[in-house]
Amino acid sequence: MKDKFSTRIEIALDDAQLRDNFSGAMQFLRDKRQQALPDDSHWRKLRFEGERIRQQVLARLPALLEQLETRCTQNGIHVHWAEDAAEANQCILRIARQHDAKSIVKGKSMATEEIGLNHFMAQHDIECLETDMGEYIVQLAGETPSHIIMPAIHKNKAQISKLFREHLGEDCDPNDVDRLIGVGRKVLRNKFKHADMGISGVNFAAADSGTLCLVENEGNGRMCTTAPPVHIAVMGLEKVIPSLNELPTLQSLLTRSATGQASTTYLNLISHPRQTGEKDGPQEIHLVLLDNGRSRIHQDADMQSTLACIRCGACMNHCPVYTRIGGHAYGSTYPGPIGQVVTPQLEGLQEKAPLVSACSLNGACGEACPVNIPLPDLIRRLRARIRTNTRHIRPTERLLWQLWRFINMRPRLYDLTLRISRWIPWQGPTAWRQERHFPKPASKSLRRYMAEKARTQQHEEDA
Amino acid sequence: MAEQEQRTRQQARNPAMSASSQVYFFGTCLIDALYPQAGLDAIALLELCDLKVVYPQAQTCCGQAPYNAGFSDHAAAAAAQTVTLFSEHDWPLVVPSASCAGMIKHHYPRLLASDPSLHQQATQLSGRCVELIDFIAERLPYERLSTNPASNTCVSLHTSCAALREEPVADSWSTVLSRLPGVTLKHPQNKQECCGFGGTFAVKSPALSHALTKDKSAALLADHPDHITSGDCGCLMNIGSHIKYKTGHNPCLHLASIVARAFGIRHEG
Amino acid sequence: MNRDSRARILRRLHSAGPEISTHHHTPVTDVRPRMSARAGQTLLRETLIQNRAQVIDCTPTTLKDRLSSLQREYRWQNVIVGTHPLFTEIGLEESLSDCTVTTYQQGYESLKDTLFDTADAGVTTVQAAIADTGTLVVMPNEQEPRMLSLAPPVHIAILEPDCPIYANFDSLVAEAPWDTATMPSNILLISGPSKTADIQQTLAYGAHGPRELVVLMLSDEPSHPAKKADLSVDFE
Repeated sequence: MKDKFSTRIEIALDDAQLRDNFSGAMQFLRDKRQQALPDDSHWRKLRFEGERIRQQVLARLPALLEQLETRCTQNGIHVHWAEDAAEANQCILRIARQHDAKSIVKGKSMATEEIGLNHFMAQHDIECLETDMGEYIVQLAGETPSHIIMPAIHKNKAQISKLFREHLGEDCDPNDVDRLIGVGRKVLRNKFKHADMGISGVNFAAADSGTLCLVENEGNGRMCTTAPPVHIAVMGLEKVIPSLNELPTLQSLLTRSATGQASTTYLNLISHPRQTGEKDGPQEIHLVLLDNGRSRIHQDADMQSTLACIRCGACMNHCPVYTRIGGHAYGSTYPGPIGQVVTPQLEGLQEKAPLVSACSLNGACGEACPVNIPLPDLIRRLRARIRTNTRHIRPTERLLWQLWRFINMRPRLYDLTLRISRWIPWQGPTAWRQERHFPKPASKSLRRYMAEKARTQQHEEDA
Repeated sequence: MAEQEQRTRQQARNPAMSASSQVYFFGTCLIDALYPQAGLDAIALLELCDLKVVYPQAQTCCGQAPYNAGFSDHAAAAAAQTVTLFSEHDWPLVVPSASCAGMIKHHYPRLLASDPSLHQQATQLSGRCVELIDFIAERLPYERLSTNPASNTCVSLHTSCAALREEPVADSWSTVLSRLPGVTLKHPQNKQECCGFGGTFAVKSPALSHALTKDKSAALLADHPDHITSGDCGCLMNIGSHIKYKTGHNPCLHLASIVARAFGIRHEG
Repeated sequence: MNRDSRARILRRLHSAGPEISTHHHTPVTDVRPRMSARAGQTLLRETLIQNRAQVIDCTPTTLKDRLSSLQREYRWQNVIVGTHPLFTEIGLEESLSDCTVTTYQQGYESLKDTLFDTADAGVTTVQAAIADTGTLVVMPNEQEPRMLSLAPPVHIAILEPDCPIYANFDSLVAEAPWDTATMPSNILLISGPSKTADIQQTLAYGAHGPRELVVLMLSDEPSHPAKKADLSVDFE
């Protein structure tokens, strides 16, 4: 029986428009990244350093988080610890209620996607509006982001123009992108002005200075973290870094890998709410440290490097599977290779096992990863766990490998198997035969040739 | 990669290796069962380089397929057997497959980590395990080739994922082909992209595998080559099977065979 | 509740093993000497222009004329500025005589309409710059609030002659020209006007932040004829 993921894959592969939108977009992002990293030795140095920094963070994670908490608190930032999505949402709701907040403006944050914040707020009659252009478009369409950096990458200009016409009553020439952006700007500007609360993610948080670091190109992040009277930052707890000294390397790796930029338009470093004498900035800043399974991953030595991820999206841009099916097919917050690694760990191996099969282990993801996460190795490890700890692998397959091993460990039996395989009228597995011929075993195997050759040589030597 | 770099790489691997005149040969299961001519061509090329080839009869499969599918214990058993078999002597272990070479070099030590003796042997083996074309790239007697060959073959090269990443020998493949006067080398569009084989991926994710295979085949055929070649049999089997289905003809030939033919060596099945 | 969550989370994180405190990695950085004003401004000008900022060279003498020209060209009617003494020094209000100049000295709440709806441009000083990425470092404070460089559709940044220009981000962070003990509320690294490529990867400017970034680059010497015409914008 086909699982839902396989069904979604087939639907995606059949969707010519989607494939078209995606392949163009992925090529664009790969090219931009390549332009931003023209020098191979520079890339290797930067990446080596990035990996070391992230490994150091993971080695010192609890101490760094405690230091971050201390320093942020000193700075006037309230720190909350959320063990799971429910707790994070409840915490944010509590703060919203304290301030009688009815409208929230939100910057792009995968962590808030992960906890389903918008939906949760809607259930409590609080408008939580996405303000990143791509996220705004996706929200208007009632969808979820299909890529972690370019959320509306699955839509083209015509589709977006139609969306604006239907939902905003704005009629724009789909080729006038400036005009389309202008529409979004106008609508959202008003929201920034009147919003009760702003919510953002955090790209990195520097522990020794208590500084939240946010990168963006549009300015909506700055709006969300500056205009409303209350700012809540939601951060996966693995995003902490020791100090601002580590920021240039990580920021450079992030922006080059994600959008091919040496640096984004804005780097927003927030250390305090509005201080005495200052005229603007939020009166209150809250930092929600989100666990939601991360501490469990941290305990797992073999999988801990999952947490090194800086959410750049390079792995999915280079994945031949993602490129063809897009983000939605994965059915999880995080798509692509990192999604295939993190989702089963956060949401359950048994349930999410199909995600882990959809990988040819080609290694393009690991090669592109700016902090050298061994993604193919992690996928392989997950497969080993799926085999041992779940019912996902069918008994037939288990038996097949058992048989493989039995034969493989017995060279003479192996030889015999090769010889008789020629006579087995098997056309190959059905799955293989999708537009493929099934190769026939050779009339004489290499080992046979070599055995004969050895015998001939022996005869010659004996003679 | 510059020739200088290549040579330095080779020597850096193991100074003793360049001196050895005997080599082990690991045929790989796919060559053994399906493409023995490629194996014979490979051995002939090694002999052409004045090397004595030793083929231990007890060799089987390197275990990559079960390893990638999550059956690492079965793979470890294969690893232990293979390591033991090829540890009797200190000779280079030549492998006509970038993915199998990668398996032995990079994954065997990990798989056998729990057994100190085997781990040590695996590490030592790792140091002398080489992919075929990379190994002979600087040893082939190119001077014997006629600069005015009678015929010209157009060859489209598939640089397998293993050859690009895990065991980066793809540059050697290109270099060797470029040095064959009778061969015109073509590279497909998106050459860095996977062909869709991925071992069990082909049968577990058939729709995806098919999509990738189709695209790769089309890219390789775009230059209307006489042959499609690679140093990885899994890929060749995958691409060849698809093209044979679509056109009735399989244009795939292992790199060893392409090179062997250039030197006048030919084994036909 | 939250304290319990905190305890549980930290317990799990600590259980990964003792902190490898000896494994303290010193970041490998590319810190370079501070650039001279001349060299710094030359490179910065180039990279800012690459980032689609407008760079206008002037001296303290020509600044007022430049500002007036800009105001005429853009037809600004409302400009908002902070209480930094520089603006009085340079006679900002006089140079923008055809404009209503609002001084941001009340709380944000009472100036929202100006900031969001009427201001055509916001003016700030610049505390530092990074030459290789074309970045202005703006550190809002009591005198120059945060929204000045964000809300109005044009951000006018005045780069004084003694503004420290760093070769790269590593160098800025190494010197950290701010009080590291207390930290400024907000440090902004601005590398051009607001932009987005979210609509079919097509670049568009003025997504939410300013559509234009106009940098008035002040130098001490009088304007020299050797100025490269293709690198800077010149107003007559």
